[in-house]
Amino acid sequence: MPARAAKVDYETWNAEFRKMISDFGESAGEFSAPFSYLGTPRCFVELEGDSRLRRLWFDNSPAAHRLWSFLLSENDRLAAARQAGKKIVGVMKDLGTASILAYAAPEVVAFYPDGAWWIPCVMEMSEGLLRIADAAGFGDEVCPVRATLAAFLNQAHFPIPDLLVAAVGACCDDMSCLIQRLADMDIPLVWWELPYRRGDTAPELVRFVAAELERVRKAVSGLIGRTITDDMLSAAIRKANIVRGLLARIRDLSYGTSPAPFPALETQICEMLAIHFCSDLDECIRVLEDVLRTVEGRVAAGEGVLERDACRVVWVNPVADLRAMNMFEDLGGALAGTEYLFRHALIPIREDRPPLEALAEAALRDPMIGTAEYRARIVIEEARRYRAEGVIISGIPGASHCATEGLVIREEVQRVLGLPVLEISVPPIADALSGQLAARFEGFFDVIRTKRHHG
Amino acid sequence: MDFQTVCTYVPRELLEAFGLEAPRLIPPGTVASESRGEARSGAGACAWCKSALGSADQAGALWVGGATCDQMRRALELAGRASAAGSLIIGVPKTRTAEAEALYEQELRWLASELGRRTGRMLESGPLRQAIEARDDIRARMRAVRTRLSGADFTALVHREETLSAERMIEFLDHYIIPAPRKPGIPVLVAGSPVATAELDWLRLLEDSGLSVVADATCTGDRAVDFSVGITGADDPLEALARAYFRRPPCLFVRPNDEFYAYASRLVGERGVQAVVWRSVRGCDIHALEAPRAARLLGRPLLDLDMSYGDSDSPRIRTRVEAFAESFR
Repeated sequence: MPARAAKVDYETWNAEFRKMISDFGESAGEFSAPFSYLGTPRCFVELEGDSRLRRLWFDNSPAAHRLWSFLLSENDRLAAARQAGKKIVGVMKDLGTASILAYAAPEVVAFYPDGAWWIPCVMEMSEGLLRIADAAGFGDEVCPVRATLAAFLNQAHFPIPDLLVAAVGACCDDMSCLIQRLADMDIPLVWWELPYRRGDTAPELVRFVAAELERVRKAVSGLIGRTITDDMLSAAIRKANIVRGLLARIRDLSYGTSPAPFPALETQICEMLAIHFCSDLDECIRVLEDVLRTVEGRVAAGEGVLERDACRVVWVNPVADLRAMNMFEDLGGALAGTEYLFRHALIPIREDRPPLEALAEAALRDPMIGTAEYRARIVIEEARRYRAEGVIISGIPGASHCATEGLVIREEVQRVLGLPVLEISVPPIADALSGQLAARFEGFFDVIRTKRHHG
Repeated sequence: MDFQTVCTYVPRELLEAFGLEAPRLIPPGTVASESRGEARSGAGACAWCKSALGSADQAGALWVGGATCDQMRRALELAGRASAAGSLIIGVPKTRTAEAEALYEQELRWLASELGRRTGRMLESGPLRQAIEARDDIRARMRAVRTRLSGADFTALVHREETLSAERMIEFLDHYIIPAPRKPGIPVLVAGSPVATAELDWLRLLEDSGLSVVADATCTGDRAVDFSVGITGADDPLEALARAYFRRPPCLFVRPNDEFYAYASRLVGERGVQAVVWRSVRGCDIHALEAPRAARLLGRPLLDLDMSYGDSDSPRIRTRVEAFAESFR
């Protein structure tokens, strides 16, 4: 009998895990597939140094345990892939397109080193990455993604890739500067252009990006010594679409149902899996299927992890400190839509056209390469779809794109929907700001509740 | 309708071919303009964009610029929203492939069609050729006087060129008298963020402190004039314009940015540069984050300055500049 849906603290989460192990009839640490990545939450804290977990609240389902284990074990998976002779491709900045191309070849594992931006949070700065980045000239004025540079320099977090595939263009100056620095490290690197998109995607822009991706295909093919064919690409796209389809259902149920059946932190992780499948596409699908079954079961039973009258909010941008999502929910918020900067990775890729063109189309939906008004439209669509009562724009300190686009999103949301908008800024460890953040959340929810009752 | 350009990757020749005066907005670079701009952009934008947003009379102006860096393209969006007329933003590729060059040409063709739509005129080859030849002439004449000018005087000349029509600039150059001979000093290359109007004082500070700005790799320095379109009779003028602007000494944002360093290194060699002054305005990641590489790749002692517009002549900057100059004596 599964436990009733709830959010639990770290100690309870560990206890639940032990119970889950006995339910599986397995002994701790010796799981066979499909539970090969399952690890005790405590081991990630004590062996890996992921100490932030101690301060978080988690969904109590086995599916959530599996989701977290899958996420936190990625570096081990990459190391194992290298040992097994697989080629490792570091894909940077495009968030969800070039990785599919890499996964077309079974002898390749792709990951986004960009994900290292969460390491200072997860390890509560104990790893010293931001200090290393500072010393390399990437100080506080740069987005926390500077941790990625440091992770390349100290080589303590992920294997150095055999090939870097770097998207530049209209996507992100911070990353572009960071990758330029990596280019000095003698890692084979292919740049590809992700161009500025004014409005709807013009056919000539699709052809241009398809040609750019062709260069990427050649580079990856060169790495493995055989050609990645269109058929291989089409098969990878079909699998990526399975992930995207699962996510669409999970999002609809999680963001569209009151009480919310799955917490904000876990839904954020689910969405992130769309970017590169956490280095194992097949297991990614199984993990998401498990989550979906859990969410469907809870919705059918009317169970949720939050209050039914929680304030429904669209969340814009990923948070550097995961704890902020807990705090948001603890104080009365519930997600009713998101725009985490990789919306394009959630939309199904067309299977009825040549695969590189289909990938190009998908890449060109990237919210970062368009106007701030385009992002605002995504937020407005989310708010309408999931009946949001407000929007929170969570600024990323130092992120060059965040400097101005929050203003446009706020203006558009207020003009079109008349919803209240809260702008906050969340650094990798927001403990020092927790009082201020809490007060701002509470004030914001007061505004929503007042509007709810008095119009 | 007034047209306002904001980036050197928008060829003014193209707007001039439509009979438009399209000055490039050079921000005043004052604390007051930066503060006014911050009210429109938010605190995180770079000082250059804030000062630009805070200085222009935006009502009714159509802003024309390039999606060059994050700050610039989003500032253009904000300016366009503040103005009733909006903005025209062209994509400026960061990679340096033949395909990227073709994309840039495509973007210029889009801009031409938009300008045609808004002015009710067609782009004609004759006026475009004339505009290109006039600007080529201006750039050649500015290059000819370059080595006789101080860094501040040359930047002032570039500022003037960016804001005057071709006709008025030619008239100005016809009567141009070198303001003052360049002071002797340690020959330096200035590079980094563009120099705003009030920052001419900062260039003067360098030159009063014993440095001589013999080369300037900013887009308000040598890079502004170190190219020509060189159109011939057989050329499609728009294609030639796109090729020349794409292949000009590039901004540091290109990837990889080897071409920028090749250009800067050429200046270092040709002009006997002994040191580099690398200056970034607050919030300009493109330049600030590159300083350590610049120090290595240019092979000269480098003074790395991160400045706000209140700093142009501040004791902090003066002390650092003087100490740097002192180290060569």
